[in-house]
Order: sequence, then C-alpha cells, then structure tokens
Amino acid sequence: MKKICLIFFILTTSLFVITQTTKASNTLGVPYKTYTIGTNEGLVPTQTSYLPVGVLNYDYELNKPEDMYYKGDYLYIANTGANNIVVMDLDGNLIRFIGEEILDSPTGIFVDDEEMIYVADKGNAKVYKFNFEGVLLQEFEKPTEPLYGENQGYRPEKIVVDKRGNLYITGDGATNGVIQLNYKGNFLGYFGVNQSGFDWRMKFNDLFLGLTNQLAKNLPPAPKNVAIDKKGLIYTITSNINPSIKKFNLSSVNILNEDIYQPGDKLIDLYIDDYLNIYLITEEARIYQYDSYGNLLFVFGGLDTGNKRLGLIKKPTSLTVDDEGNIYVLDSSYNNIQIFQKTNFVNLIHQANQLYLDGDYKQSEQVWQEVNRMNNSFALANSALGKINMKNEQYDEALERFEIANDKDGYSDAFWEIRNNWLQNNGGILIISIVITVLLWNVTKYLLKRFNYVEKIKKVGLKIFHIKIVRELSLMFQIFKHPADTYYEIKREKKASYLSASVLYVILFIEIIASYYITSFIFVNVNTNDIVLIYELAKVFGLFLLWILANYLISTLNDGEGWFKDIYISSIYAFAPLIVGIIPLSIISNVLTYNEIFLFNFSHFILYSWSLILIFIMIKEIHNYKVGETIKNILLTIFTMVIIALMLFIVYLLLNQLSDFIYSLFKEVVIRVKNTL
Amino acid sequence: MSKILYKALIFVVLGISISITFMISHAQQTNEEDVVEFELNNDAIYNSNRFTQVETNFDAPNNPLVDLEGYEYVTESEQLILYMNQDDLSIRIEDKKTGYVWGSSFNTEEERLNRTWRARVKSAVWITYFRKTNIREEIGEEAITTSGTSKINTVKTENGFESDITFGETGIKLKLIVRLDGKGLNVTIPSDSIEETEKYKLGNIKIYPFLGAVKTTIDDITIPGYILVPDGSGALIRYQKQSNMNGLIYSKSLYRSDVGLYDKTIDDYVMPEQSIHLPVYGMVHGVNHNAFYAVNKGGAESSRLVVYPAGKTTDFYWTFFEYIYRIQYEQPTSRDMGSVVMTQKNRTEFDASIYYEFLNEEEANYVGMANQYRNYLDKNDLLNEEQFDKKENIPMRLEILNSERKKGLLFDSRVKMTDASDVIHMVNDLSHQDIDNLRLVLRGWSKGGLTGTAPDYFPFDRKTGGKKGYQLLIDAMDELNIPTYFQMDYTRGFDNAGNFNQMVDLARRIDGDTISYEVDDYEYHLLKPSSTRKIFENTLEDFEKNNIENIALQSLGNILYSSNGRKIESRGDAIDLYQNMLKKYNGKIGLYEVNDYLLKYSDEYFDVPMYSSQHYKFTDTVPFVSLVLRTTVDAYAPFMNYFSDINDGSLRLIDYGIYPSFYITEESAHLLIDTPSKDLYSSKYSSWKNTIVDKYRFVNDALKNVTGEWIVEREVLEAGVVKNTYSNGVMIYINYLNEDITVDGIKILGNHYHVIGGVA
Repeated sequence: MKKICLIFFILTTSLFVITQTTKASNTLGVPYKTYTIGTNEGLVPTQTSYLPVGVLNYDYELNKPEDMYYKGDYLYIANTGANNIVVMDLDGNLIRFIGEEILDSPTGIFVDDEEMIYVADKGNAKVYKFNFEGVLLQEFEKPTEPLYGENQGYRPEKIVVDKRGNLYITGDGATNGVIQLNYKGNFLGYFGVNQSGFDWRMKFNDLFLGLTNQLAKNLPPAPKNVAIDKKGLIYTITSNINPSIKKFNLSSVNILNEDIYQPGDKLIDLYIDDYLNIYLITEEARIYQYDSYGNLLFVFGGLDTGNKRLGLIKKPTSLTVDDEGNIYVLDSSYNNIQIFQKTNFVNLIHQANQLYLDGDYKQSEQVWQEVNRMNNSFALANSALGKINMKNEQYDEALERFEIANDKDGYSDAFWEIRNNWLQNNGGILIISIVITVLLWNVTKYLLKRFNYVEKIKKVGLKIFHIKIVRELSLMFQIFKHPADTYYEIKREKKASYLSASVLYVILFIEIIASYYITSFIFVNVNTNDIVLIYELAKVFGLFLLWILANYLISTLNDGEGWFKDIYISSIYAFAPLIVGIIPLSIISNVLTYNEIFLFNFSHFILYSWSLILIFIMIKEIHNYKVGETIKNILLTIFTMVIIALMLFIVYLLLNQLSDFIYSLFKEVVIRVKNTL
Repeated sequence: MSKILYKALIFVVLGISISITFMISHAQQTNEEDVVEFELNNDAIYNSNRFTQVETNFDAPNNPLVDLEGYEYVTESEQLILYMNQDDLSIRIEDKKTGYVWGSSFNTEEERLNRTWRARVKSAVWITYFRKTNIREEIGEEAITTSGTSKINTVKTENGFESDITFGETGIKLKLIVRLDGKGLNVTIPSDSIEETEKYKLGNIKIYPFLGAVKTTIDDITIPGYILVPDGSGALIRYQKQSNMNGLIYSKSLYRSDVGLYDKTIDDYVMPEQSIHLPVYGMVHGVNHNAFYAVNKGGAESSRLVVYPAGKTTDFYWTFFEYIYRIQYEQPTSRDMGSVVMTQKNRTEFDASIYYEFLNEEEANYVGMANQYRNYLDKNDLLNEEQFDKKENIPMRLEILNSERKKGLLFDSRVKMTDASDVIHMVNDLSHQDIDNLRLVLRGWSKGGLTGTAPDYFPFDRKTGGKKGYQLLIDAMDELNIPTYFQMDYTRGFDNAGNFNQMVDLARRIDGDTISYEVDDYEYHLLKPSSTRKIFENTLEDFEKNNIENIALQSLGNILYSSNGRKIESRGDAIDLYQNMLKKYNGKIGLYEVNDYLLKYSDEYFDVPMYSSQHYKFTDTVPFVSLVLRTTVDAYAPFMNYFSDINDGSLRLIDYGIYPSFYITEESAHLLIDTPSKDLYSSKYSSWKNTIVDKYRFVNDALKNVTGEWIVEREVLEAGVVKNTYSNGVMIYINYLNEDITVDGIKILGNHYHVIGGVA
C-alpha cells in the first residue's frame, strides 16, 4: 500500500512539471509570431501573414470604443464611453458624429446595404436605427410578445441585420440565444441557441463537495457576438463551449465543421469577409483566420505589455476588414485602431484555396505547390495537394501527401484506390497463392504423418510444455474455451504463478505500446511522438494496481475466497483475448480503410468486451460468488477504486503543501543568513 | 450453468456493439463559393515606422531656451568652447563653426515646471537612492540643487574641470570629470570616487539628462529634428507636436536586461523586443545643421537608454543614459506567490563614462552619426582589423542543419537533414551558377544533433558523415576557399549534455535560482561567464583534433548576464571574460547580432537587425547598425526563408547594405515537425535553389558595386523610395513600391532598384 501510494505520488507529481519554452528571436520586424495548423494537428510557426502597418491617425478622441463596422469606405465606431457613433473614412478623417444626446453607452453597431446604421445601446436597453446623415428613424424596444418572456432581460450588446431587415441581437444574459426581431420590431424567436453543457467538473463538485449553485447550473451560455455574411447566414461566437464558433443555416442549425480549431481564450469579436473567410479576435489579442469550411489558416497577434509596440493590442474589442483585406482592430484601452496588412503569403493561400474551392484544380495545384514550398508543414496545402493528386489519379503521391498532412480521410480514400488497383491487378495471383498455400499445408501435413514426424513434433512439444513457465502461460489459451475451469485450476490447482502473470502483464503493456506504432495511422488517435513512457505505464499498471487492490479489499470483506495472489494472477489471464488479438488486429488494420472501419472497431470491441466478460467470470469463480454477489462485488470494487484515487489525490495535495512549506522555510533561512552576512 | 451464462453474455454484448457501431455517422460538408481575385496594393506601410520617412524640414534651429548668460568660459578646442555654471555644474558647448550653443540645462523660469523639476533640469547629476528604514528600503531622489546644501568643489583642469560633489540631503559623494577633446566631450564618474553613507545607498545616476532637450507644445515644435535610438536596426523619434500618440517613455537596458537580475517571461505569441546592440544615442537640432551623438563608453552594461517624449510629464524631448548601481528585486519565499522585496547588497562597480561628439552641417544626421561613430570605434581600436580578401561578388551565408534531435519513447533519435557530402554537392551546384563567395555555417553536426548538446560537441555525428565525412567537407571547402563555420554555443548547458558540472558551472540569479529555460522538453541553464570561458578553452584541443578552424558562436554575441552566486560575476566581468576568451582564438569567429564589445572579435556579423521594435513613439526605422558596420565587417541578414515577402526583404538588404542568408537542408523540413526545430518550416535545398540564385543575383548586382564603401548620404525621396550615395560615388535608388516610378529623371521599376555609376 505504501509503495503504491509512493508510486502514484511520483507519477502524479511528474504531471505538474512547469514548462517554459524559449525560441531564438528572428528579427523580421513583426512583434508577434504567426502560426498555422501543422501536419501534427497542432499549431506550427509559419511566415508572417499580416504586417502591422500603423495606427489610424485622427485628431479627435475615442473613449473606450466597443464596436466597429466597415461599410462602403467608412468606418463606423460605437464610441461607448463618449455615448456617440463616430463615422470616419479610412484616412481617419471625421465624417460625423451620430446619436449624441440619444445614446447611452452604445456597444454594438451594424450598417446595412442602404447605409442604415443600427446601434445596440446597452444603457438605454434599445436598438436605434439611424440613416447615414444621422437622423434617428426607429427605436426597437424590448419585445412585448409573451413568447419573449416577461421576465427575460433585454440589454442589447451586439447587432446584425439581414437583407430583409430582420434584426439579430445578442445581449447580456440572453441565454436563450440571439434575439430575432423583424423590421417592425416584432419578436420572431430565438436563433442559434447554445446547448447547456454537461460539465464533468461541475458534476464532480456537486457530488462530492456541494459547491455549485443548483439554480445557475443549467442555463446555456449566451452568445458573445454575432456576425452575418453576404449570403445572410448568421454566425455566433460563445466562449467556453465546444464548438465556440457556429455558422447557422436558416433553420438555426450549425453547418460549420464541429472540429474547427478552438481558440484557448475568450472570444471577443468576429467578422466574415466577402469570400466567407472568418476572422476572429480573442481577449489575448490573437487574431484567428479560418476559411469558409472552418479550416484554420492563421493565428497571430498578442497583448501589449505597455510599451505600445506597433502590432500589439492592449484590449481588443472589435475587428473588421476592408475591401483590400486589411484588418482593423479596435483597442478600447489605447482608444485607437490598428491596421494589419496582408502579405503575399496570405494572398497565395487565399488564392489557392479559392481556386481549389472553385474546382480549378490545375491552377490551384501550382499555387498550393508554392505555398507548400514556402512552408513544408502547412497541413492544408499538403491536404489540398493530396486531393488534387487524387483527382489526377496519382494515388501514391496522394497517399504520401495525406500522411504528411495527417489527413486521415484523404489517406483512407487514397489507400482504398491503391488497394483496389492492387487487387484488380493481382487478384488472380492472390487467389492462386492462397490455393497453393492451402495445398502446401495439406501436403506437408500428409508428409509429416506419412513419415511419423507428428509423433516427434508432439514429443518436442510436450518437452517444451513441461517447462513450468510455458505450461503456465499456455493456460491463457485454455481460458477461451473453458474460462470457469481454468480459473478453478488457477485458484485451486495453482497452475499459474506470480511469474507467469507478471510476464503476461509486461507482454500486454508492450503490446499496447507496440499497437500504437503498428496500427495503420488512420486508426490511431495518438500521435506516436507524444507518447511518454511513464504516462503509459501509469495508465496501464496504475489501473491494474488499483483494480487488484480494491478488489482484494472488497472481497475480503465480502466473504470472497480469492487471495491477493489469485486476483493478481487471474486478472491478467482475463485479458487473454486482448493479449492474443491486439497485435494481429493492428497488423490487419494496415490493409483496411475507413470503409471497413466497422470491422476494426467491432473487433476491438469484441476483444475488450470478451476480456470484461472473463473478468466477470473470474470474480465469480475466484471468490466463489453467485451472479448477484459478483455484480455487487464489481460495483463495490469500482467505487473503492474511485475512493482510493480521490484519497491519493488529497494526499498528494497535502504533501505538496508540506513541501511548499519546507521550501519557504528553507528560503527564508537562506535570505536571513545572506542578509546578516 | 456458467457456460450458458458465458454464451448469453457474449451474444448480448455482440448485439449491443453492432448497433452502437452502426450508429456512428459522418459529418457533412458545406456549400460552394464564388470566384475571387486578390490584389495587393496598399502604400500605408511605407508611411509607417517600418520605413524611413521623407525629410521635410531642413530649417536651421534656434533655441531660445539656451544662452550663455551666467556661464563662465572653461576651455576650448579647435571645434568647441566649453562653459560651465559653478552652482549646478550645468554646461554650455558652443560649436565654433556654426555658433550653435548646446546646453545641458535651460532657462526654466517661463516653463511649466515645478521646483523639483527645475532642480532636475539645472543639475549636472541627478541620483536616486535607497534609504534604509526599519521595514524596507525606501526609494528617493536628489539632484545637485534640490536641497541647496550640496557641497561642490570644482577644480579646473587643462581641458575641462573636475568637481567633487557631496549631496546635501543624502551625503552621497561622487566626482564628476568633464573633459573637452577635439570634437567631443568626455564626462566620467569614477567608481572609486563614489562614497555612500550608512543610511543612504546609491540607486542610479543620470548625467546631464537634459543635454539637447527640445521643447514642443500642442501646436508648435521649437526645433526640428529627431532623436536616434539604436533599437534593433535603429529608429528615429522625430520631435512632434504633443499628442496622445507619442506620450510614452522609452526606457531599455543596453544589451537587453540582465537575466541574472531581472525576471524574463517568455510568450509563445509575442516576440521579444529588439535589443540595443550599440551603446549610443543621438540628437539632431535641425537636420544637416547641428547634432551630437553620445557613446556610453563606461558602464554601458549597467545602464538604460531613456527617452522622454514631450507631453509625458514635461514639454520636452530629452534623452540620456541612466546608470544603475543597485536594483530592488523580488526574493521568492515560496514556490507559488510569496516574495519579499530586497535591495541589491553590493553596488555594481564601473566607471560611468560618456563621450559626446558634436556634429554639424552635412554630418548632422543619422548617417553622419553612424560614420563618425565608426571612426570613433576605429580610433579606439574597437573594430576587427582582419579582412577577407575582397572578391568581385558579395558573400552569402548558407547555414545548414545536419541533424536534429527527436524525442523517442525510450531513447532520443536524430532526424538526418543534411549529410556532410550533401553540403559539398550544394556548394558545387551553386558554384555552377557563379555563386562562389559563400560562408558556410554548419549546425547540428555533432553527436547529439542540434538541440540539447551544448556545451558538449564532440565527436562528429556519425549519421551525417562522421569524422571522415566532415573532414572531406572541410578539405573540399578549403580548396574552394570557402570558410566553413561550425556552430556551437558555450553559454548554455543542457541537462542531458556533459562537459559541464551542474554544481559549479551554472549562473545564479540574484535570488539564488539557476537561470533555466526549456526548449521542447530539453531543459538548459545559463553557464557562469567564467565557466563559459573555461569550457571553451578546454575544448580548444578538440577543435584542433577535429580540424575545426572557424567557429560560429550562437548566443555569445548578444547575450549578457551576471551571475550572483557566492562569487559575483557582473555583466562587466562577463564582457572581459568573453573578450579574453575570443582574443586568443586563432581561427575565424562568426557571431550573431553582435553587441559592440565583441565587434573586435567577430569576423562575420550574422543576423544583422533589419527592423526596430516599432514602438508608436518611433517615427522611422533606419539602418543605423548596418551603416556603422559598413567597411568594418561583412554583415548578413537573418534567414531569408523566413521573409514573408522576399522581394521586399531583398530590397531592404540592398538599402541597408547587408548580405543574403539562407537556412538550408537536404531533406524536407516537415520531418522537423515534432522536433525542437519545428520553426524551420521550409528549407529543402532543391526547392529553394532557384530562389537562392535569383535573390543572390538580385542583391549582388546592386551591392557588388559598393563593397568596402560606406554610405555618405541616405535620402528618402518619397515614401518607399530611397537613394543611397556611397563613398565611391555610386548611387543606388531603391523603389519599394509596386508601381514604377521616375525620380531625378531615372525610371525605377516597381519593387526594383537602379544603380548609377556602378561597374555595370
């Protein structure tokens, strides 16, 4: 027990090593790094995609501006702190102020094709509609329809308007989704409601610590911001849910790829350009750019620490994009607007992507080649080139591309084609060779019998079988046919030993690790480069240890007849199906594609469930239980495992505190001594 | 019974699993998009501080704030006359040629300044101190005239004066030595003249902080001109009307801040700021009229460059070096948050010394400053004298990655990127394209691959050629007369490397910790400067054994830190140690982003900064560093693989007079994706060859006309169009714009350049 604690302690502490990375600075005059999705599905550095080109120069003051919108050569800014709307051109020349003495902290702004200006005003809890000259035309107050809900608040924060004049409003605590009003202000319904999430941590806190507030628990998170594209589709962003970026069709169904790369911090604003690229800015001032399918193209940008470096932002509140593709970012702390200009590299990628989406593969191939030349690890380029290769029926090249890009669907398709071709060309040979093998086998068998070799082999076999460990290990095969009998033999006749069981544990572990490497990469969810031996050890053996220990403790209390030794030995023998099957399955996976994924998953499932069934039988036989008692025993064991894990965690926390204390004490003494010297 | 149960269970599970796996379905894809064309055309960038701006105001300066009233004559040289005020030791310097008077202070009566500020402006020296109290050390400040009780004892010397100052409030004593010297003025505070009291300890000293201060208001600039800050490649802060745009202080440690004293946080997204590699600043009063530049020649390693723009606290632009003798630091007392503030116990020892040189007429601009500063360095024997044989064509650096380490399940492996024999092929291949003036730098040539090996490098990596392979390479390059540099790093020690002792060789932060970082799971620690030297010198015989002659030291040129263990090694000590370590080395040495104190020992200057940190308050980026380096050392750009716009970048190379560089491998860079070198995203020789040849020729055709020459005039004709005039009369016009342009009757193609007076 002590040892286990210690091991567990060591394992868990090793998980908490602080990592800090450093990179050589390269001196290219951009204060941030740019990343893209790399071929390992993570972010990899790439060429600068947007250059900071300056701060928009103007001679009137912005005051904590919260939103900005670009339309027809003008920037419209919700100048929240000054309670007005600023209209300026792209050189910073003031066109006019709007809504002075009407607005009270306007936080959202939108301009439609007729240059009608919609302002979401948080202070007055209204949405205002102005014309370009600044004349107030209409006010949208809280809907009176019963469907809206009388107790439901109305604090408009952000707004977009579609071509028919329908308003989409997000607001503080608008947890029912985006409020949709028609042009007259009638409530049409809620749009794009987020699911209320099931939070494991919350449940855990609830169950064991009683920390969460029952009332606040099950409201879905309110969308933080909303955008509209030229087709009239609505996009929302919501922090802390998955996926946090959604694109809705008219019936309020998310049509964006759910595996879209999730920014790690709070989302602030988004913009959709004419080519349906999605731009996103987060609290940490990172700007994300996705293509229309939700593939991440770039991430860049960062927070300013007070030196006011061009390109860094202190407190981003909004971003918008002009006709030339320059990004404008509004900063409500420095009260300014920064401009980012795209580089040729971005142009290349946009062009390639667009050509590809338009079906002009030949043209796009050239451009993608150039992108790939500039960045070999650009996953999207490799993937696109692979798909182009597929179209050109260059399956081998495609396979290679997809492997580099880690594009499993593509790889599977390419492999299917290659396999198909191979089968078509070599199908005859395959069948003939199978027939020959069968024939040869029978001939050999016959010959062996004829010349009495069978007896000799049997003799040798018996000799080997008489070696103790071999005999013990071979018990593993017997368990498939007669599980109950085998367990009887293990327990009563001591036909297996600590040694044989330990050997099997090690074999299983090695097989599990090996299977990561052997299995075709389309079926492995682990990046083999990320495998850390110690974690794998902890995962496999930690679980086994916990299981054996918990079961032993429970069984001794529940009149179980099994000893610790019996449980230790029998547990691993229950995993015989896995030990026997996992490697062959991994090997077979190399000739499978996603079309046969069912075969693979199902076989896996069988191996695991078979093992579980054997566990059940093992408990029953070893402890000599009835079915009911067995179930009870297993449930209690699992419960005990959870409790032990929890206990170890608490012990770990306490030890951590203790070591902190000792460290502080030590430091204190050192400082005192140093100071008095 | 049990058998039936067993079978039944299997069937049930089978059934369930079949239905579950069938239920898994695939996600759908979305709709089609419209046709699109992109065009890049935006000149905003040329008006940003990424580029040098057009000079519009050449008016002569007239400074109403500075006159000679109340100042007595001290001495004069051929160019200058020195005056001083006995009460506050402020000075006036008159330029004999132009008659312009520079002042270290100005008349404060009519200015928006309170008593404290007036004292600060008037005084020659202004200190901050730590006052010991029972609880903690308090920070205070005192200028010479703050209390009215300071004692000054001034003695006139042959070419200046010396003053013993005792501050009235604190009783801290120091000696100020001012000496006129031709075109320049030397100001020194010797370390041994400083006396502190029991109660008051010296924090920092500012010397003549208001020398050349310029007043601007919301609608007026009294003197046109700018401040030169050597941030990165160099930046200008033009005097501007007060506005919210420029109201921030610039304050930066020379040679980056000392990681032995200050914490350094690292961000995955935000790049560290550019460093100050040359300890200078300059002020221009009227472009092409009057200017001075100041060299921090003593105590630079312990000082900051500070610029106050007008609008921040005062109406003045003023700039100075701040000498730091003591700092306060946070001493962590627990592993999470707890810490106490402590004051550095021992004063850092150095003789603070500044050399001001006054320039006029055509020299009164940043180009003139660069040229005069280079002369200063030359005169003081601070430059490398060895020169390569000049060839007809410009040199190019090829840095090559041989192998990189990769984490494995049980053991690390190496990813082979370039074999030694591949390098020979590449060089031969390039020479067929008439590119023969190469500098090769090899990385990751040693047994462990690139990352994680420092400071333990021998023997050669067998996977990429072994001793034999590399020997062949060295011989082949010798024959072609191509210098081959082996890259190493002796300032850091990786946990999994040998050749150093974790107990004695590691540098210590002031709070007692080691200075440790991590690169992709490989932890390393900075080595004590003395250990760096020791280990380097112990390795020399290995160099010899392996026939390594030329070396490239990765971080030595730009990293400077103190070690604060039992025996303190200050940054000043580190400079001495590094200089002595390189002084004795016989082969060629290539250094990266070199700080001035190692210029003498660097035969190649790699990774010249090409940009500034681009603070809002900067109005321009200028090639100050590369202007200084002209004719003294071959300067190479950072790797051009990383340029987002290689055309624009190549033009900048020509503009700044620096040479091309590429980072090359034989294999495709995607193999590096899960290694510490993952930021090398494109380097395959075969896919870069054409670009290398193209860009080399592009740059060579311009710069081969001016090898060994310096720029005498750099003129921005309009935003994005630059004209450089070299000492041999050759003029190079550079057009960064996309469209063609005609200037001085010459048509320059878009994104191109034009050479006049070259060798054709």
